[in-house]
Amino acid sequence: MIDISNQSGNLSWSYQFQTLGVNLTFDFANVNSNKVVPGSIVILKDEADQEVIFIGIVVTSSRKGVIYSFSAYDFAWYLNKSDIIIQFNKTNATTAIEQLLKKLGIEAGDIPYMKTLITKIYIDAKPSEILYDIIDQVFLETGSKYFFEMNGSKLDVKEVGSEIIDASFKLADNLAPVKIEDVIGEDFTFNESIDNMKNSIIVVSSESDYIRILESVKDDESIHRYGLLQEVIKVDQKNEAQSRNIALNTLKELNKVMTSTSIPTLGHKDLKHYRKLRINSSEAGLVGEYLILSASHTYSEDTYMATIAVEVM
Amino acid sequence: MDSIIDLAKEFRKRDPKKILGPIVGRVLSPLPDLQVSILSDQVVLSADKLYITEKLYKDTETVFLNGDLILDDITKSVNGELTMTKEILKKDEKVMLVPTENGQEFFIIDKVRKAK
Repeated sequence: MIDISNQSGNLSWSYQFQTLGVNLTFDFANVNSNKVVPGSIVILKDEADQEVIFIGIVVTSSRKGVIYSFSAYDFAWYLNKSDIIIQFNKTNATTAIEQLLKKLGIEAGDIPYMKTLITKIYIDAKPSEILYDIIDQVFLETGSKYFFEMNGSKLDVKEVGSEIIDASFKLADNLAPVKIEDVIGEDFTFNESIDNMKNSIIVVSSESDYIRILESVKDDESIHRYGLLQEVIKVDQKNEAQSRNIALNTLKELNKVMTSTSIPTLGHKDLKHYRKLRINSSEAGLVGEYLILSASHTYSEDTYMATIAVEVM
Repeated sequence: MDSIIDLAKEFRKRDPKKILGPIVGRVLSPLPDLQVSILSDQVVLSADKLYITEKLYKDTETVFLNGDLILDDITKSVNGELTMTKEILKKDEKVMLVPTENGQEFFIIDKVRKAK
């Protein structure tokens, strides 16, 4: 394992709500003294408290003149790289994830109890696809949203927004820490989109003999305003009893104008996706609790910056 | 950054979907609690995931008889029903399966054996 904390430049890593793992890119100038090559395990630690910020495997390297550049992924990378055959038969989601990880030789970290029963055959599927499919089923049935995160070599499953960040920024050793609203930049961007909006949901059975509508829910007011945007969800026979929940949870999730605000700020290692963050900046028009959707961190020339995208909770 | 990920996801959506073709299975237990395993027993399909052709389902056959039954030099007139029971799918026999579109249910087409 190679510690790159004090010797690399142009570090950048990001946490995204739609991706499974973290990607870290970094450079060495002049000489690759550590003999970092694709396959090397690298670790990045916080200088102050030695907390591990990133641990993962170098996947690609390049050299341009005297600059060596590397791209590394955390161990979730492996979840996208193999195909697997696995069958679940009325297995609860927690056990299903544990069984999958065991088959892959990945250690299960903290996985909350999710009672949703999974009955499905996966043949030549990517482990990451299976994991997403399981948490999708949990969401459809219960309305609770979960995500995955590598914690070193273990895979944790966490509920979205269950962790609150109390990000305090220390600008200098002799100054008291300040809150996020004191370190956000001015050029934030506010985005709104109806691109993924759905205001009518139909749940149908996916039996091979015949297809029938089990449930349909819609929001007439939204349809009147935005036009009909309909989603059809197929469910297995075993989930028919859940069709009402599935329809309502999907409508609740998709029947809205998606908003996000991109905020440049000073860097803080705790700024990660799916954490709750309190911001109190009336000048920026950001007051209240926000959910971090993504966080991109850069550390270059002794300056640590981050850009976070948040949505109102 | 987000738009790059959106683009990547769009590409991903267009990845060819892996579709399992016809596959040979092994009967683990016969009807009525039919179980068939595929992929070296890694996946076990129970009766609720299986469709079966009429030919394979008929485990009894009833025929009406009315006429003369001749056995060597004995002639006997018969009038009635004859029911024959046969076990069609036996343990360890091989069957050909075709999956449904979502790969979650299978049709047993017929019994098969390797030609050579």
